[in-house]
Formats: sequence, C-alpha cells, structure tokens
Amino acid sequence: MEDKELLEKFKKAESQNYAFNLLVRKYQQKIYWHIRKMVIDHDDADDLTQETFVKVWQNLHHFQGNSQLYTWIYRIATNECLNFLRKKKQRFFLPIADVSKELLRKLETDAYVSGDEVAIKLQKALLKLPEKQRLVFNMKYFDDLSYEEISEILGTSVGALKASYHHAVKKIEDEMKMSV
Amino acid sequence: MRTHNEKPVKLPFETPPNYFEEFENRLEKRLKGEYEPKGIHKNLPFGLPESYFELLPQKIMQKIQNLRRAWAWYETPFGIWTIRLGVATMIIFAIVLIFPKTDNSTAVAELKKNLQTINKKELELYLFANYQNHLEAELFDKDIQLPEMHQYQPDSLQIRKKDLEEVLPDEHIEEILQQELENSEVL
Repeated sequence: MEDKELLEKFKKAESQNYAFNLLVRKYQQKIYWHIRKMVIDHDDADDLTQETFVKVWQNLHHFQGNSQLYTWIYRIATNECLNFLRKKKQRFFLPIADVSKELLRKLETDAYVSGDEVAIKLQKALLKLPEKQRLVFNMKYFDDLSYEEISEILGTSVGALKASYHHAVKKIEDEMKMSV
Repeated sequence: MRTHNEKPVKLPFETPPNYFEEFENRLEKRLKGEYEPKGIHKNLPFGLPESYFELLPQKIMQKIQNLRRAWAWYETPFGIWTIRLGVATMIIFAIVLIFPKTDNSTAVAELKKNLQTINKKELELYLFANYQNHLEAELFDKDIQLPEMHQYQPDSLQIRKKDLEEVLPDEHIEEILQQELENSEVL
C-alpha cells in the first residue's frame, strides 16, 4: 500500500489501527536495522524501535506531508538513537571514546552477533568514527539512501554529507588495512 | 635557465598502474559521492531472535493500546483530580525543599546573652511599670472613674470568704471578721 493511502486510512477512526499496523510492517525492518547499527545491542535496538513507532503514532496526525513518510520516520529513529547515546554518556559521565568502547564490548559479547569476521572488523572500524559520520556512512553505504534523502533526515547540506562520507570511507579503509 | 624542452626533468615519483586512465572515472564518482570502501562487503554481523519481525508489530500495538488506556483514564474526572493532587503535592514538596526551616538556635543564644547583661533591679522596675500599665488598661476597660478608685479592687485581689475557708481554720475567720466589725464601729 502506498504511503498516501496509509495516511488517509490512518485519519479515519475505524481504520486507524489497521493502517498503523500496515505502516509498522512496511517500515519495521529498515528502522530496526538503522537503529541496530547505531546501538549494536539487540535489546536496546528493540526498545528504541518500539519507542520510535510509538512516537510515530503520537505525531502522525501532525505529519504535513512536506517530506516523504519514511524520511520522517527515519528522522524520529535517528533522534531516538542520538538521545540514547547522549544519555549513556551523561549517565556514566563518559567521554565519546568510552561509549565506543562499551559498544565494542557489546559487539563482542552480544548473543545476536554472528561470526562473520570481515563484517565485525568493519563494525569495529565504524565504531571509531564520530556518531554523525557513522550515521551518514550507514545510511549511504548500507541503506542505499541518496544524499538528498539523508539531507532531509539529518538537516545537513548535501555538500557536507558528501565530505563526511568521503572522510568516513577513508578512515575505514585505513582502519581495515591496519587490522589486516 | 633550463627549460623542459632543452632537457626533460625526471621526477623521483611513480603513480599506480592506469592512474591517469581511470582518473576521470574516479573524479566523476567522487563528485557523485559514490565511492565505496575497497575490499569489504555489505554484510552485517548481527543476528535476531526467532520470529522477531513477525511479533514486533503486536508488541508495538500493545504498547500503543496501553498508552491509549492510560490517556482515557487521565481524561476521567478521577484522573484529572489525581493529576491535580499530584501536582499540588509536588509543588508543596518543592517549596519545602527550596525553603527549608530556618535555624534560630543562634538567635536564641544571643537573646539569652543579652538578658544576662540586664540589671535585675532594672528588670523589676520594667515589670512593675508594665503591671501598672495593665492595671490602668483594666480600669479603662471596665469604665471605672477615678473617684471610685479607692473602692475598686483588681480581679486578682478580690478575696472571697469561700477562698479563705480553704486555707484558714473557721475560728480564725470568725476572729478576723469580728475585728473588722469592731474597726468599722470605731470609724
């Protein structure tokens, strides 16, 4: 079902639950994986995905349709991730490097991490990037979003995103070479 | 001065194979931002619990239903009054925390110290003057004129026979009364 049709059904009280259920089924995987790549741990990703869709439910009647629905949902999910990581820093008075260390530890101990060595190495290299650079890389490289779409989600110019992605690729290549 | 035409300058640098042939292509990709890290694939090392995505919509819908029920309760009169009571309690609690009871132990100690410096005689005079003031106030309140003052006894000085009986034996009272009677006859 197209997003426009979903939104129309959501506006009607009798089909609201049905429409929202369809919306969750349509976007849950993209949103979950977007969050999971940022927080690494499955339980944290599960909580944040649920929280993201609760917020979508609470605010969907405010959605004006100025942007695409999925970029709007991505934006909510991204904010949830950044808030989660910020709270982690504040709660334990940790600098950014220590949050990365904790995420690295999770990468090694989480029950739901497979044994693909190259993929783990890439994730380890990604965890050494600043949060925003990691976000840009994930959305461009793994989610195949265009710079225009990422720009809509993060509210950053396309030029800045290109530079950020380029820096991220260079750092990852260097990191991967060093770990070989 | 030598020029390139006279003798070519040999630089000690080399480029990777096909560098200039591929330069245009690389530049185009870079402008589009389409470069990818070399030697890695897009696999993610993450797994999931079984049937996770089949169950996730149910979990989300359950959460939303719980929120809806909570909001429906908040909108009832009982819910509204509970919220108001909660807010009032929080405000009182905040006031108690912000304005704690002031410590007056130092003020009391200072007052005691000042009282010790006052002369006992001065204190008695002050209390007597105060008593006179009270006496005058009592006269004023009961609208007693000055000529009658000799007949007036303040409330605290009025003695009743019944009161005397409690402290004195009967014969003593009779004796006092007899003396009083004799005195009045002499006058």
